[in-house]
Amino acid sequence: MTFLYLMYIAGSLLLVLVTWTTLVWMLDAWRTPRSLAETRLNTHAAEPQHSFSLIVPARHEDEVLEATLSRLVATDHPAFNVLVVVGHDDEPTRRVAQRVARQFPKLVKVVVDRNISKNKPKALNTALRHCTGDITGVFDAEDVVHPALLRRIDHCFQRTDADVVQSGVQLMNFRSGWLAVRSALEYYFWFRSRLHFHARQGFIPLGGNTVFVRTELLRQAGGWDPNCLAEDCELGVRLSTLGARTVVVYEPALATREESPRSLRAFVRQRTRWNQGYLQTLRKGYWRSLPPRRRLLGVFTLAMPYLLTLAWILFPLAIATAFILKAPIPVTLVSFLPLLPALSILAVEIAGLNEFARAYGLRTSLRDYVRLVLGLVPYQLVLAFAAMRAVVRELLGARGWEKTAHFGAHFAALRDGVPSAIASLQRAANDYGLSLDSGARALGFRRRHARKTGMVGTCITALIAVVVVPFFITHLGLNPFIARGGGGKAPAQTRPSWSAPWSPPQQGPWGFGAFNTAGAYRGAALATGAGQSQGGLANTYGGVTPPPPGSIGTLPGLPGLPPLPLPVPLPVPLPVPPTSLPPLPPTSLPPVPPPPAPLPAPTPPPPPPLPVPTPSLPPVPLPPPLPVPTPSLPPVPTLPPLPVPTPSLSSVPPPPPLPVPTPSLPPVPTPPPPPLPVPTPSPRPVPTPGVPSIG
Amino acid sequence: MTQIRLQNLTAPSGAASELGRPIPLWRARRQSARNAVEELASGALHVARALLLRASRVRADIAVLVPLLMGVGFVQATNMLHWPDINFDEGTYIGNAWAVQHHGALGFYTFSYGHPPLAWIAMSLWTWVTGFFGHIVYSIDSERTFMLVVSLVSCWLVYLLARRLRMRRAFAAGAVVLFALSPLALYFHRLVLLDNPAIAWVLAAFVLALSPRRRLWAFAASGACFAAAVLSKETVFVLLPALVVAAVQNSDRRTRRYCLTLFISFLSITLITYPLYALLKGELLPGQGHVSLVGSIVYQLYSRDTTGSVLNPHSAGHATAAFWLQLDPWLLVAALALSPLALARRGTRAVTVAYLLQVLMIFRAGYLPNMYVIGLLPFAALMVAGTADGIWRNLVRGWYILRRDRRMRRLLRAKGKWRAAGARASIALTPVWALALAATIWLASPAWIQSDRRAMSVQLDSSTRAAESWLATHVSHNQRTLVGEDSFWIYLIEHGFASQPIAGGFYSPTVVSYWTLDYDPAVKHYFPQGWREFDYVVSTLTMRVTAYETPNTAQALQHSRLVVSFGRGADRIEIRTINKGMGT
Repeated sequence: MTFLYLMYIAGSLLLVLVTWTTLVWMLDAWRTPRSLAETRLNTHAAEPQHSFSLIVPARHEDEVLEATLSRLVATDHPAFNVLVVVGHDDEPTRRVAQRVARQFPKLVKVVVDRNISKNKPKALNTALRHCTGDITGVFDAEDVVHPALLRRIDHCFQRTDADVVQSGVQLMNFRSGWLAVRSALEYYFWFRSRLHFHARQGFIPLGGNTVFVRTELLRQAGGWDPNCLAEDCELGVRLSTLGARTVVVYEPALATREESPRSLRAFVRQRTRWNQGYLQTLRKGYWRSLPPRRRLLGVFTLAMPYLLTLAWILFPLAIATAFILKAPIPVTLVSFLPLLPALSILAVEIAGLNEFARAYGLRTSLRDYVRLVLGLVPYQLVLAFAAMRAVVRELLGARGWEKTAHFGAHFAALRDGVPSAIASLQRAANDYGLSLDSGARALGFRRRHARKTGMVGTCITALIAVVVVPFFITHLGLNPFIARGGGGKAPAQTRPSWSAPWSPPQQGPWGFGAFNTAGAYRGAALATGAGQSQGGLANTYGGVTPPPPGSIGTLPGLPGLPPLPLPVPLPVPLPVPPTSLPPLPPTSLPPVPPPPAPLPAPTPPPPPPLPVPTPSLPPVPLPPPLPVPTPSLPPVPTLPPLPVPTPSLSSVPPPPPLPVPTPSLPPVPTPPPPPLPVPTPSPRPVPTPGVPSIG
Repeated sequence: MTQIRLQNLTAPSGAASELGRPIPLWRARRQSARNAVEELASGALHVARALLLRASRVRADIAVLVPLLMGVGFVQATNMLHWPDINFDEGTYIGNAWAVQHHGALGFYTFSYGHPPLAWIAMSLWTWVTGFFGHIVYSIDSERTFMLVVSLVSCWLVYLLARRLRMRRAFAAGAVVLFALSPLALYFHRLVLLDNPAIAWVLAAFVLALSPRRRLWAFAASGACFAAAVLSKETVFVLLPALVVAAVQNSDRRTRRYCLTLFISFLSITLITYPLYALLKGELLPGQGHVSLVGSIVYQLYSRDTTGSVLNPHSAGHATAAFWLQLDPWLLVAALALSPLALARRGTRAVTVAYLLQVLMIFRAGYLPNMYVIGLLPFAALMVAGTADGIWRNLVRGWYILRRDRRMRRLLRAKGKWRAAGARASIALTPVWALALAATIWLASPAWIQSDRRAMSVQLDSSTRAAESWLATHVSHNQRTLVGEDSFWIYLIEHGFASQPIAGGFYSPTVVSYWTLDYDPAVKHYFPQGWREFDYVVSTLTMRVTAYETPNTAQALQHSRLVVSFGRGADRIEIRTINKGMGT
């Protein structure tokens, strides 16, 4: 019994820790009047010195896109352009975008995303190749952006030598329901206060829009992770681990205004996606390379949704059981201890609602406060549900991953617990030149059906993936990677069929489908497992997208971890791409793209030291920009994951197995030759924790 | 330039810094361990540096405070065990502290929610901790030592508070002297009373609410400290408006909302633990056959016999107030006289509100306990010292004006016509105030010195202590004794008399506090024959005065014969043996 009580006390103290940190961090900006003053943008006027490329990914947003774009082009800044990313299958949106682009030919460009499975990071990566400004910004298609924002951000970059600037985002429709009022406040505290704390600590899960990154850095870091469900958070964490300096600024007048999801269903899906994205980011393990204190913060932050869920479920449970068990009074009192921070959070939220409404010139009524207070418990329940849903989804996707982890590297393809049946479906679709939808439809796999079967379907698929596919792969020699490693035939290896995640599509609030996360780890698993023993795969993410132009090869992380993208600067600056890609239907694609020529001298590995342009490359035809649709080039989607920016596109007979630069990734145990004169005990490059924001 | 920065940027300090090849796990671990060590070392350096910096900044304060506390501590400590005589309440609180440590109970008889328990929990904590350094028992001696520590902490807090109210160091030190060396302070700060720790908590709350950097968490902590004060002694709740005034005054417009929110939520949530405890024990609401928190509060506020109005010369309240003024008329009256000035000054406004609120409560015709004055002392001291500081400032200004100093004139002109005139007037009046203050000090100090000297030399407790040791040596452990003061109870228990938990919630079958024999149901149940079950009764002044309320004790006194008597006059202590056969 004593043991039980001790467990009890320990659990309660854990809850106190979780709720306490939540309280402290949500109030971070108001620590002192001075710290509050530091979170504001500097109002001092300065001449703009940077140029901006603003990416606006839009999918099925034809209703709001025009308004958004026309506000965006009214921005008061001398050097910026707007890249609207539309899907090749999304005709109405594209029409709207092109209409605006015709109106403002110098400011707006339309980029067509030809990825077969669409999601936001892929769209962003597609647009990144067309970014010409030295700073890339991201906005969502429904954002209301203040015209003076860019000038201030520019100024902020000038003043603080920041690599990343995150500005405020605010949900505005807080009066439309109890969910809305709570999530609007959540946004308020997150952007107003908590992100400043994270920026100061050097570990920041970035927001999804109104985020500005130096384009060069973004390219070198490899862009967004196309398989992560919270690509914004993931990018922030990745840049944090690379030591990028993030500055968060907040000013109510300049905050980007948004709308919260309209229904509970959409809300739950959104949260599931975020939570799962957090979980994925957690499991990717970039945080492991951080110094200890920040590492702890990283784990804690990424696990926070789950811990909070746990707290809110356990807390009433603890009190109830303490009563039922008739525990000694001190033990029961301890179980009430989390009440102190929890109720304080509620009180602070009430005060925050008042301040938020004043700051944005809105009116509140008693009803809003009542909703806020009464909504606390249901909201936490909804969040808990979303968190559990995310975990279940992740676990189902990951079952194979866990199970096959013991088998060995050659099973790596399965680690992600792919719905491989679907992958093969997609492969078939590709082969026959069909879009996935039509392929699926041809095989009787209805979207709606998929959605309804949901979990069950995923389970069955996972089972198939775990049991059947390995059998085929191992015994029938179908594994393209094994074939490659052995140098044998691999006719299909240029076809990235393994890497297109597809899942019962769900219409997320963002406009894209929510994606089956199963695929999210595929690239990572391949690159670590298969990559280390097979000589490396080309692209970290292994998506359908070709690698972002900047990244050559991978930077293996710790064993068992996904690799970090190897940042190598572009040998030549990217030429300005044309406004839009000709929308070629996938049917007309040549099945096999012209293969890249072998590298002239892939001998002893070391990639050139970082900033120096590679001198050893053949001089004449310096690598042309990858994705640019020179007439001979096939459009994007079917391009193989190219490991290296191909130096030339000469017609060389079919290449040796693709990942050429084998020597660069020796197997794990053998100590490799020292590749780079990396200053090992190098002090951290940018002392991030120091100065949080503009003075 | 950008390239260079980016290069730095892409070489993270973590384990994955070596580009192009995987790092064995053991190396990664070693690296991260090294990182950890470096980080710890740099963290320690950072902390040390910050402490040093801070120390140099507060060096002058330390230079004032350390000798001050040593001097004050010397006066407080000298003869503190023997003057004043042991108070009735002291024994009760020490007994409660004893029960907390030894039986996990909140009282050594049924805990009736008379006072909240935090202060004696703190006492038991003190005794438990000091127990590690030697054999320490619960006694007047050990707990008065605790009160000395509490008083020194309070002195430190008064100094801090004075500094945060922007007083000069000399005047802050003056506040400490007034607070600690007033004869009233020497009397009450030495007694083992709940008010002393409670006032320490209140002072801490004020200090935190006046955080110079206006830290959010200082306000939260201030709320929690005030709750701790109320949980030590419920009467300090009166001071809440004053604390709110201080918090509102000090908070910044931009962060006030959150500061006050956290202040209130921490205050109320900490406070709520007490009713929660009562609720868990099923003793929140009044009911048949058990004590209750609400019942106790109602009793304290409404049904308890009042001590009468202070203004009625025949009332007990008047006697109490007269006792205070007899000990020290100067500090309390001076503060009251200066209160208009102190209220007008922004710096002393909050403490003045605190003082005046308590004064108003005195004039309310309710129950006025003797130790109520403890709450007045720090605020009176701060008011007097703060006003003196203001007077001094005005004197300096007047001196500048007399010297026709250009800066001063400009200052006066800049304030605007009327305000300048007001400032001039107050500066002109300053010498009067200064003279009055000086005269008061001149008159008061001999009286203070005299009573302080008495407090440092006279021994009043000899008869009590002699009675205690007589009981411990002459009464057999299986004979039953009815004691008039709880200090006898704790003394006998700590000297080997039987103590074990007895059903109903009391802890000794042989030594019994006289009041409980008539009022604690558990005790009544255990001794069905009442006074006839006892062999001795220890009669004290309190017992004899309140005997009309306790029929059992009255009978015992009536049917007993004097064995030995200690001391003379009304407050003599008699040990009497009870004749069980007599009576009806």
